[in-house]
Amino acid sequence: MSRFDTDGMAGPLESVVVPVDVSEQVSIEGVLSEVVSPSEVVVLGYWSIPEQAAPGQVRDRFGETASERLERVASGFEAAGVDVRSRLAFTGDRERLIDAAVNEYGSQAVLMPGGSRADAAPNRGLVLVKPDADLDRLVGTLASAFADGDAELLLFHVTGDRDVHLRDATRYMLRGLEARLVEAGIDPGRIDREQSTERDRLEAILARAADAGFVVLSETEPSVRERVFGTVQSRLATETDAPLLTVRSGVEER
Amino acid sequence: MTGETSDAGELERTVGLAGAVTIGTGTMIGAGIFVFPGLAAGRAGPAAAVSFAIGAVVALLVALPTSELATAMPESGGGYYFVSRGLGALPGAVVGIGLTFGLIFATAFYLVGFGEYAAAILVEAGAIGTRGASVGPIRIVLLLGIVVGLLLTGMSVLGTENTESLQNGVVGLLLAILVVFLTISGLDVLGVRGGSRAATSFAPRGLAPILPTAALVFTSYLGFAQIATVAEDVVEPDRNLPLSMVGSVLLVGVFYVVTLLVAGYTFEPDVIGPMGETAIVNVAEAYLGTAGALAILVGGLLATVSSANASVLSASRALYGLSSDAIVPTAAARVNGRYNTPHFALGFVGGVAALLVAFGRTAVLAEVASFLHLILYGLVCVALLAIRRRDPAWYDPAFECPGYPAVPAVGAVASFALLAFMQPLSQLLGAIVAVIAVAWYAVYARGTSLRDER
Repeated sequence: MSRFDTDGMAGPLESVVVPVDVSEQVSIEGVLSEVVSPSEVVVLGYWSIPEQAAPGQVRDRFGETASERLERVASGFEAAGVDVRSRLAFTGDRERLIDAAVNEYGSQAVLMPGGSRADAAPNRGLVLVKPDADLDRLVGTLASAFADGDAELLLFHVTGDRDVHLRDATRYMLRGLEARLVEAGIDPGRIDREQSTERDRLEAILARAADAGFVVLSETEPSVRERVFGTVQSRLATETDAPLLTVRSGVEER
Repeated sequence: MTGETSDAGELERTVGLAGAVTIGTGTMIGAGIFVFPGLAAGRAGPAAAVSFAIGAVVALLVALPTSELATAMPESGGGYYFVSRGLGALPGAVVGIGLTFGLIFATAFYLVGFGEYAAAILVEAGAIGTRGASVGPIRIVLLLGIVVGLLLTGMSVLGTENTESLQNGVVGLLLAILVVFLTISGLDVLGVRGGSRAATSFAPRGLAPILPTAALVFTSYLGFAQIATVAEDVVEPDRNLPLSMVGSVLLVGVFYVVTLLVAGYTFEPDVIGPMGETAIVNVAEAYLGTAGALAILVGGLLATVSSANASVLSASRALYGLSSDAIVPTAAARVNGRYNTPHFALGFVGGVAALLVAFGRTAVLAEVASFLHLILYGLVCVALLAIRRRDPAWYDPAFECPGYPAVPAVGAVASFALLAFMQPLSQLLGAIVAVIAVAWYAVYARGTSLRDER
């Protein structure tokens, strides 16, 4: 694992929240949990409850099962030499739970482990780029995770507009991002760029993510610090089984 | 409702003042406007508005003590929890079982209301001749209510998410429909738009029917205490809990009073009474023509089904509260592995409600529901008095009931007094449920020690 420390570039991730659905048999053998290698993992076991049940009602019945599954995942990370905190919640609102955990532990990313997928190329990742996101952090994370290995990255942006100037600006941005990734040690042959003018951003992203081996993206609204796991993340997590790494903007020094 | 974690680290509170008012309003707004106007104005004329105002006052007197207890004990059990911890296991069991059945009666009441609206729409569409039509031995109205009740129950067991979106949509839509309707018809009644069309004096039947009517329509206010069940999630509970309970009672109270004034002045009691549960549709038609009637028909359909659904879920929650304290077997509220829903609790609630729909007497269903809730409300007030007198070390409410001890004392007296004005059959049925609850406690749950007893 290489750890890049380029000037002005955020280093590798220190703390990552890994939400795990403990209502099912859990496996975290997705590609990302091995390559991201943060120094601390917050394993957030959750059991989604329907509105017809009280959280305690489900906990009464399945609390032990959930704890056992969470424990198994946590010890898996511990065996890999990572500091682990674990936490269990019965909740009707997974997104809110994840946001709260990220804020509470000051984590820099959320990693949804994803499920088993037969049809996707495990090595081909989709990187969703948003101009207003913290690109330093994104470059730093991608570099430390993928400089070694042979993962291919598709830098993808949806403008949702056919405006020529906007398209040029986007191409410029994607090209710049690619240059920085190459500079950080990722082979240019492993990087591709694509921009879409699809009107429905979310649909375009979901379509592109369908056969991706994993997805990397920034937090939903960098302007709202409390909100990390938003609609795009939620839909991706629900509708594709791809491992999903959401990178948060760097916290400004106070 | 959501966000309970298994460890000490609780999630941030997310329900604001507006959200809490929506929960309270959404549970309440259905019945008073869409089911009761014909029945109430048929008894008392426009003076039925006073009956609704009395109901609002009683609800307010209970809302303040409930707010104080909810800030001191933000448990999802709500009223049952306050009474069992304040007064002991037996009164707790009585109100807990009473509340469960009160909500089941309320569900049946809303389902009959739904059946009336669905049948009225079928009549408009020409599918059936009158709302009184029957299929075999059973009236179509009741059949529709039973079918929808079983459908809602089935969907609940499958974990279908519908309540929140349904309720938020319903509240917004209803308020919009009602503001338009009440403004136009209200101006008409006052004679602002040409001659007043008031068909009757204020109290054509005298003052005597006002209190019995208040007892009948109190069902319209069941629901403000629902806010207490999400007390854990409310932002700034010391301010927002009392404000949202009081605010939602006042909000729906104003709508009810205006609706009843309009309805009561539009038709004489002898005319509006026989129009029954959907009388408000005829009132809307008188002012806004067919379009107005259709809007109210759709509004009534949504409001009754949304209230029925909310009551099924609340009753199931009430059973869970009882099972946590081992007052009923834990199996009653156990969730299944497939959908994580308490299938027995939901099925029991939906099944009994469907049976009660077959019984088909709207006024009795409403009164029994109110009867059982009023016992709870009265005892909540008594619980506040008892806890304040004991003043245990753990008791530290963030909000203190103003006007103590007069407010809870009058609240208790008023709640119990309303029971006296119900029809004998309702009193009998309510008393039977209460006696069964006591017997159940004596046979099954005596000696139960309450979880986290303080």
